[in-house]
Amino acid sequence: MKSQQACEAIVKHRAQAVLVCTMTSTKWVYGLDPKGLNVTCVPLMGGASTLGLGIAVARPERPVVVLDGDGSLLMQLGSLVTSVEAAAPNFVHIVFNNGVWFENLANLPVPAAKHVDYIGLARGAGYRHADRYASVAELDAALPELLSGNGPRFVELVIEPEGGALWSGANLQADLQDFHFARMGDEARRLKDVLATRSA
Amino acid sequence: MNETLSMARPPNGAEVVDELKRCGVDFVVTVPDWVQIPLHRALEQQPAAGIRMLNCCTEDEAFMIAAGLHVGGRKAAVVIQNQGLYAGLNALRGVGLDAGTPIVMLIGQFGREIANFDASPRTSSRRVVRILEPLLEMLEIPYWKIERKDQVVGVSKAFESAQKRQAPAAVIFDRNMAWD
Repeated sequence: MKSQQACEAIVKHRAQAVLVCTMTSTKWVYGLDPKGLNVTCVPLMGGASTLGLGIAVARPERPVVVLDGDGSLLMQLGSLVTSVEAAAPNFVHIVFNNGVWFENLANLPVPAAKHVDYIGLARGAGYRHADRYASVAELDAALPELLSGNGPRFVELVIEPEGGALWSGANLQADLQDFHFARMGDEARRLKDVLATRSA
Repeated sequence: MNETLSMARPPNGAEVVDELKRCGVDFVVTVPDWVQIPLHRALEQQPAAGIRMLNCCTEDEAFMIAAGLHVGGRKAAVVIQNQGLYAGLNALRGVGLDAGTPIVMLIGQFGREIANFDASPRTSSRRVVRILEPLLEMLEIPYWKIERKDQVVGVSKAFESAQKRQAPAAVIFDRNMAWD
C-alpha cells in the first residue's frame, strides 16, 4: 500500500485517538485531518514513539497511535522495549516500512531494509500483539481492534514508496521555514489544552 | 570551624522523594544513575509516595516520555547522569528547548573525584564532570547544585523555573546521595 492510503484508513477510523506523526505520515495526516488531535515529532527523527508513549501513559482513556517511520524506529530501537515495559493498553505503534529515508524526495536506502524483520524485533522486545499488513484492505479491517485499547500493539505496514527523487541539482531542497522548528511545541501546547478540557 | 562540603551529608533518597512529592511529581522517567541509586531505592520502597517509575533504554526516550506526560497533564522528573545528558542532547534540544517543554532533569555528577569535593567541578580532572555546567549554560538551561541535605530545595526551585519559563531546568547532584 502507499503511505497516503494507510493514512487515509487510519484517519477514517481514528475517532478521538491522538495521532503522533513524523516524517512521511506528517504530510498526509495533516492534509487529511488538520484539526484532529495531532502532534508531529519534527525535526527530531526517532522521538515519535516515546513522545506518544508518554501521552498514552498520561491519558489512558483514549487511544494514542504513533505513525512512525522505519528509519525513525531504527534510531530508537530500544523504544520497543521501553514501550513493553510501560505496558500502556491504549498505545499503538505503527511503523511505515517503506525502506527509504526522504520518501519521494530522495529515497535514500534505510540500512538492511530488505532483511530487517520488524515483527520479529517487536516480539523479541516482548510485544504480545505484533502484526504486519501489506494491503490497505487488511489495515482497514484491523483498525477497529487495533484502537480497542487491548494493547500495547505493534503494527508494521508494508509500504510501496513513491518513486520520485525530486531533489537534484536542478530542483534544490527548499529552505526550511521557522514553522518547522516551532510546530512541535505549538501543536503539543494545543493538544495539552484540548486534552485537559475534554477530561475536565 | 566551618563544615567543608566534603564533610557535609548529602540528601538521602527519601528526602529527595519528599521534595519531589512537594513539587507534585507523579512520574520519574529514568535511565538509572550511579549517583542517585538511593533515590531509585527509595522510590522502589515507597510505592505509597504515588510516584511511578518508568525505566527507559536511552535518555532520548526519557526526554520524549517526559514531554508526552506533560502533554497529557502529568508531571515528571527525568533522572539521569551527566553522560545521559550528553547522550540525549538532540532529543532535549528538540522536545525541550525548541518545543518549550518544562522538562526537569535530576543529573548525577558521575565520576567526580573525592579530591574535587571542596573545589568547583569545573576543575575536575575528569572531562565527564567538568563539562556539565558549561554545557548547561551554553544551552541556557538554569541549574541548581545539591551537595548538602539543606540544598534539596533546589529541586523545587528547578520545577518553579521550568514552569515559569516553559523550558527545561536542571538539578545537579554533585556527590553520591546518602543511603541513610
